[in-house]
Amino acid sequence: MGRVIVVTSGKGGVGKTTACANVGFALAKAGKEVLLIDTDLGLRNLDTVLGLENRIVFDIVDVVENKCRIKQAIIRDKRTEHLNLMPASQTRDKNAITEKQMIDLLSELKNQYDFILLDCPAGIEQGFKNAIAGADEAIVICTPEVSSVRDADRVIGLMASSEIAHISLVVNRIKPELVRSGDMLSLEDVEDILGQKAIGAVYDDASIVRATNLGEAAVNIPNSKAGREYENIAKRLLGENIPITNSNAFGAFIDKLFGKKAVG
Amino acid sequence: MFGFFRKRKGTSKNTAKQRLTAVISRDRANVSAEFLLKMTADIISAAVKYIEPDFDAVSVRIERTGTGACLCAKLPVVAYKQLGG
Repeated sequence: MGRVIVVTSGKGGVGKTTACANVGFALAKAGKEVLLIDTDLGLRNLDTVLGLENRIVFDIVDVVENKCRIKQAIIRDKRTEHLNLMPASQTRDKNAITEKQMIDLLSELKNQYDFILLDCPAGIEQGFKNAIAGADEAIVICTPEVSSVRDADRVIGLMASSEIAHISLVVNRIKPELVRSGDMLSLEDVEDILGQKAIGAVYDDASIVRATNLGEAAVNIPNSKAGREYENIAKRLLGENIPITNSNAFGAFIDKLFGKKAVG
Repeated sequence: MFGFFRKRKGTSKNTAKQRLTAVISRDRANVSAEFLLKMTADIISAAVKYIEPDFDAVSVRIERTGTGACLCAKLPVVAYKQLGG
């Protein structure tokens, strides 16, 4: 029986889709059979992040409306053997699928994959409700900003009354130089505020922008720091004990070495 | 002027942390700032019949538990009061 994990955040633009693509890719590279489902109906993007946009014929709405067989709406990524994508519909809205249809679809797919990752739309409306309906676990993505942390707390609260048994926190786009100057919440601050330990800390990294431009996953780019951390997140999901590196301490040492003034 | 705030209140991230802690506490309880203030005042006024708290260290906040929310009031005790007739 596979693990169904929803990737959510409340706030938009914090890196849900990128995280979903990269963690999925990393799990597939580790030999797990992975299905990514884009549940952002009307605003699909997981396909373009993965560079699979030209291969879409059918989508998730076609599946629930019985216009095609499930297998016809699943695209197999050719770069790795084990990664699959079920795209969202681009022409329909978030009400095209009900929670019941989502649960039924997932229960049918669950025994065919080791991991099913659901890329959740922003917000807490029907699209969010659909995405969390069939999930057993959640990955909450937040950035070290006031609005994002507040929204993350809100979705964690909403999921507390759902079937979701386990929530993992990923803090994304940490800028070490701002953390050191006292102008950005650190990983530990976010963990403190949310009362939750993180499963990953992804530092702000230009290689993500480049990877997205190319339709390539950052985990496939050898010197991408963000890519390496997404790989570590995948390993931690698989139960490996990999400590989260605090590049803060190292950075402070470098600052000192080059005589930068530390503030705060 | 901003330099002054920095020195007095610390860094902008500390301000962010304080604001977030307060707003999240209210979000979790789904209550207004006024509600939380009034409740805090009432809890303290009830407690002072029995204890003398360290007023500077008193904190009342809503923490999240697995299934719901928990009111956590911290009132460090300086002294106990005599129960008089």
